[in-house]
Amino acid sequence: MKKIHKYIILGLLCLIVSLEAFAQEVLISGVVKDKNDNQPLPYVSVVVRDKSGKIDSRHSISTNIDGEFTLKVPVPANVTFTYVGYEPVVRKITKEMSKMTVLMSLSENMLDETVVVGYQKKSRAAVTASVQVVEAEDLVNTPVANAMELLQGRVPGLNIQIQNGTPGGMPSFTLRGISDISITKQGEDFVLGSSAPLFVVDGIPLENIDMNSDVDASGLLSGATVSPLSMIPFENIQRMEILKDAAATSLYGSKGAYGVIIIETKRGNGPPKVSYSGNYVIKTPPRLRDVAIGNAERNMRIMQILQNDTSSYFGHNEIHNFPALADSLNPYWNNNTDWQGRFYGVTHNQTHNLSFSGGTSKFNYLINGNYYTEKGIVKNTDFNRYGLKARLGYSPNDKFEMDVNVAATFTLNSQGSGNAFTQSGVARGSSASSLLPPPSMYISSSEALAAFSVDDNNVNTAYDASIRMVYKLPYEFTLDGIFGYKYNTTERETFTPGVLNNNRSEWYNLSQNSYNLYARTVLARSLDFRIFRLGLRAGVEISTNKRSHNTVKLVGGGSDYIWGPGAMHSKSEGTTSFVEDENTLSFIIDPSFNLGSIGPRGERYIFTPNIRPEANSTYGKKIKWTISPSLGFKWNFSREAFADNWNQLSTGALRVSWGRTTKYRATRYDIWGTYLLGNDTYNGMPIIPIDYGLLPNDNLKPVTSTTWNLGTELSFFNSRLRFTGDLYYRQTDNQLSDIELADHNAFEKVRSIETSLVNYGFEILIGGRPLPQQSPWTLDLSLSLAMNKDVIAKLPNEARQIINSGAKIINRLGSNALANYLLVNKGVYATDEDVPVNPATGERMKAANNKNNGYVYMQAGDPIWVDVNGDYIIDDKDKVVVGNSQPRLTGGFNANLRYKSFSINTNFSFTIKRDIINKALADRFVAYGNPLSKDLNGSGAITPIEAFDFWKEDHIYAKYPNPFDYIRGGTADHQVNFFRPDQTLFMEDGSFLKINGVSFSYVLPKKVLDFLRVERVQLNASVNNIYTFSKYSGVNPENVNSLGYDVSGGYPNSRNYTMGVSIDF
Amino acid sequence: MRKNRFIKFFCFLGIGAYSFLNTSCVEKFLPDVQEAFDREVNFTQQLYEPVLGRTTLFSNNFQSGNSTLPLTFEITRIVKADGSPAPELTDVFPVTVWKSPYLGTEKTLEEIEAKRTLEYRPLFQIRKHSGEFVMYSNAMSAFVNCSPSKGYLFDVKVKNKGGYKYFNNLQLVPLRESDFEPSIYDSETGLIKDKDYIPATAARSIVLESGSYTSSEKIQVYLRENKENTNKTKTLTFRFYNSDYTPISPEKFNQTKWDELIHGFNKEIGADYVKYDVVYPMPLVQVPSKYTNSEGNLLKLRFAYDRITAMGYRLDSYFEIEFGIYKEAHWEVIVVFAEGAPEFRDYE
Repeated sequence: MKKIHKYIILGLLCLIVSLEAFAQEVLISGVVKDKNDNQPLPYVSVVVRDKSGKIDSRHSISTNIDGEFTLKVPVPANVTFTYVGYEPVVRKITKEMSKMTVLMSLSENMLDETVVVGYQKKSRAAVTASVQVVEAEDLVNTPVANAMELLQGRVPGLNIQIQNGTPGGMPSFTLRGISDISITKQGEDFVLGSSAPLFVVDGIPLENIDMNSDVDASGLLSGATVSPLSMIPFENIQRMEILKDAAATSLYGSKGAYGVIIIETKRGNGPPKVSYSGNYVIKTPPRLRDVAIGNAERNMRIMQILQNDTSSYFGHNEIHNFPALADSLNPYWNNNTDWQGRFYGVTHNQTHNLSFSGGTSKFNYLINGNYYTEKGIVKNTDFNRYGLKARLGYSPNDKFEMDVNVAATFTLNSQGSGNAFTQSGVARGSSASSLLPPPSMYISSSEALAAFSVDDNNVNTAYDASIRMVYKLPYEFTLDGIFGYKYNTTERETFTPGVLNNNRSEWYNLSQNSYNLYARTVLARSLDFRIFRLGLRAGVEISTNKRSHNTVKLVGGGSDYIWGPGAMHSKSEGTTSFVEDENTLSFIIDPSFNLGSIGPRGERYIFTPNIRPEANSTYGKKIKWTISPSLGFKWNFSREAFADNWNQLSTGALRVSWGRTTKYRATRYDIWGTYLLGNDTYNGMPIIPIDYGLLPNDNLKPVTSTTWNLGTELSFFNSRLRFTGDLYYRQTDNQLSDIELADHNAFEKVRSIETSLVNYGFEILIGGRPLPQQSPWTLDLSLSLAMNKDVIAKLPNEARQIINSGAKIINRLGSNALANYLLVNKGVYATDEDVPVNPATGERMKAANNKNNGYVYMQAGDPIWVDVNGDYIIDDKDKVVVGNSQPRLTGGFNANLRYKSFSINTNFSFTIKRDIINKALADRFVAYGNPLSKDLNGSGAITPIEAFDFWKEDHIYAKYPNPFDYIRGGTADHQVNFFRPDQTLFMEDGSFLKINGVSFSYVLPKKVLDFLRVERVQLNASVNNIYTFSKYSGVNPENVNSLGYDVSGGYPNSRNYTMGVSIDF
Repeated sequence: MRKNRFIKFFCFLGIGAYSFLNTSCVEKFLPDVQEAFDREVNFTQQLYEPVLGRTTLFSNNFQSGNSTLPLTFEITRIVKADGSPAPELTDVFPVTVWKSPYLGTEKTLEEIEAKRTLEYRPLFQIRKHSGEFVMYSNAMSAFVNCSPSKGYLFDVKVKNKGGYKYFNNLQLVPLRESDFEPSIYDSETGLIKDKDYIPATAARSIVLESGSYTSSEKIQVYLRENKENTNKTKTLTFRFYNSDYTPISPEKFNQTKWDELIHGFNKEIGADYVKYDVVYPMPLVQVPSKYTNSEGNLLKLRFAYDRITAMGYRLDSYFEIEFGIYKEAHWEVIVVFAEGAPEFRDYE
């Protein structure tokens, strides 16, 4: 009854209003503008509808070429502004108005968005997979070597950790959790196998993004090559698309098992123009640690020795034998040098991008020249890129389409004394003792600076060409072909001076070249049959990769200045690999059934099965063919009749998919074994024996990943609020691992595929545009959130657990994949009496020494490690599973605000629940472990630790053990490292919220432009890596390795300040 | 009405999502987190031969393979070798155990005693999580079968949450107690094996009155129980004799650090003896200290003196003896210079 009343009142009101309407007409005038760029919109129809809903032609008009209109309308009236591709705007007119400003924005219907899945453009309504599109213009406008960095926190489920600041390096990617749990040792550090997704650039998959030997989980390349993603200038990127579930990725066959990211570069559009954009970037290092220098260091060491040596007499003796401490008046030892300042510093960088573009849908072109340089905040490291690229599009009619891409990119980088992971030379140098003289005093100043003398040169050249042709044949057949060729060469030369290499200089050269050939032809046809739309795509895909490399190493040249063989005791060695090729042939069979596709409601039920048989030359005869099937179903329920009255809901869809993809991870040597080509002889005759290191296993199968996905896409209130949610379950089987064979076998180990990992979780993306349409302000908000849980489902040899004692990681069946395996710390023994005693023998608790061949009795000031097995000995048997080295919840938050010609883009990202090990802190304490070290160049610097709560004789209830006891504690074989990083004392919560970046841009007004005679000028300013909120006590919880260890030698992330301008002439 | 359907629809969706995520749904298909139990776990030692009369710990005797630690150990059966029950090893006895660490810096006997306590335990135990065996000092040959008898057989069950394994018929063959080490008795017969004394371990520059040097072999140490002394506080007495059993005054060993010789109290230096109040066993714990040898299992005592030789310089002389005593008694350490008395006088 109430409702009826409402309607009656409403009706009466209308009556009154309409009665009045006949009374008078008023004049309105104004201008219609595009909300996005504030440009006037011509030929917008401005209409008034009469009571019956018909257009009242007397009161309707179009805007002129400047977007202006003048119109007489009856009052009150609803004036509707409509324009193709734009959201209609309705204004209520009650009185005379002039100089109205009507803002129109592009209509956004989620289901009408275009996405590319399986090299095929589709409307989102027809896609059954979980796909997210990120437009480059929504990203924070800041120059980066690798545009993927900017995706951090944008895409739920794509976990990007910028764990390393190496110039030109690549952040670590995992899409929906890790896919590979293998751990390899890289120098001192342990890194996780790569779970990087497949990148497809303009329709061509990038082959060598994770050649498993070259790249680790952090996406860094240990060899010479530069990440192929760093070869793409960020200015060139139009948009990126992230395909997450197998319904989409299985279309990419063996390469897409870990997810797919599609990068689409820009095309020319509009009248011919020359655009320039340039940036000036200042990179600043993070706050360096405090160091005790000069007298502070000397006094600290002397105090430590006198108080902690076995006797005061002996301590004095030691000091007197150590000139750096004793001879404080000697100018060589009487300095206060902060070495960090020598290694880390502020750098100034530039980028320039010049492009020439234009065209229409019939013919368009874009020629782009790019120069990018990034000097690292660690000296002697840099990354420079010179690129030239052309993209041409030609489509004379709607039957034929051609797209040509040609690019040449040249990069030059240096990793200094480190590799892509760590800067060990710098870490060593920057911890030199402050007592040593500063480098200005002498020419051959010191060993500490030797890291600078490393001469590392890495030249990488890539040539790329691709052509794509689409031809629409009669009977709705479409022929789509693409052909791409890529040639890549790398030359890396590294010279390490003698002081860094046991007084024997080392010269190393690597040259490598590879080429990839890729061709794909697909024939497609779609057919409408009553309420069905049937489609079938079938095609062939061929890819060939060839590569070869060789290295030469010469150790012990004549001197640091004479580079050549022939000196006494010089030794040269080299490796070479024959041309290796890998060929893949795939067939694509991709039918689709859409139901309810005909009629005004559009497609409602979409069913897309797909199968892709593929043959690969790497795996043996037994496993030549692999099949990647998938099934997807989508229901666009907002197009159903029953949803017509859900006014708030703009679009709504539900989708379910299943799919399976494979990935080739094993090498041909794992399958076929290797011969040793060496100097072996038998009875004086040269022979070529089998390499007994690895037993060939021709039963290896490719890694298989099977995904289930349940998702929904909803948008409300005229698409002003958008929601995407996905639940997924992914099982990655046949992962490679090693099985050590018993020593009575001839072979040492065999590769196994008995490891399986399951990832499941959910992803949510909420986007909103809270301000009203007509407001000159536009605010875009989005929140992404992803939770992932990984569980090991199978381990080799039916093991329930595998302990990696080096990496201090445990794999347990049914549990998270990479758990920390640590000693539990419960504080510090306040007094000697607090140490537990073995009741049977009366011995105090003892700890196994670093070499594991003796014991050290615990005493006051030592850590209380929990003796789990009750044998009164602390050793590896007392370690427990604690903490998870992988993040569980990741996401981000973005806000873009635009007002007329101003815009601000911001990006935040967060990682919640990750356990990281503060090894850097442990190392700070360990630095006190050897005050008598004569190696002042390598281990001298001591950082003040007064701020920490550690055990002292007058402060016995403490958190940290006594760092000064260097007789028993330390890193020597017979000592115990009380500050070993693998204890819970150093495990911290690595959750963080990071302000990734803020960028401002301002487009100069027309008057100024006319004066300057240029088309468009945009001023940009941005700050990158602004601040990280975290409870973590170290420098940066993100700057940790893939196993969650904050390694002191890591390359710190810089903060960047950028000023830029882009001009269209 | 419509609104309700709308809300219902999303509630349904939400519940569906939640139930999918609900771990039980997915984890039902995943393996349980279980502790690993390696089938290859094993005792590395099958035969245990503790010496009676002292507390013996057998450690490092179990290979846990790739099992999740800690494992739980339990002796499920212990019988005599002939299969008859062995109440002497299953019943509990008061045994002395340490409760706080002995540091060597204790000032009184009471202070040391306060660190030990009596607890009721079976004489032969397995440590619950480490698999180590302990035989307590109260086990005596008087009531425990010892070698040469066949001793005992016992079974151990090893388990964790992932599995279990039985080890049957491990052997325990205790050896007859010897009151001190190095023992001069045969552990099976109880008869003197070879020499009835313990030779000194080192002798440096000990010149005898005869003018010749003596070797460590010829400095003989006899350990004797003084059964007449019934005092409750146990003592350790040192006496020195030359070859004809004439006492040598301990004052002659003028460079000996009598206060740091052993961890004893109430030192009493008489005309022919030095006596301390002590606690047994000696050494108290098998930890290297200033009183013990480098292994920590035996006391290491140095008796030293100096004199001016014919060449006019001061000669430092000393000898060292090493031994351990496990029986609580009033022990006397009798040092005999078998080749005659050392020369203590300065050359004039």
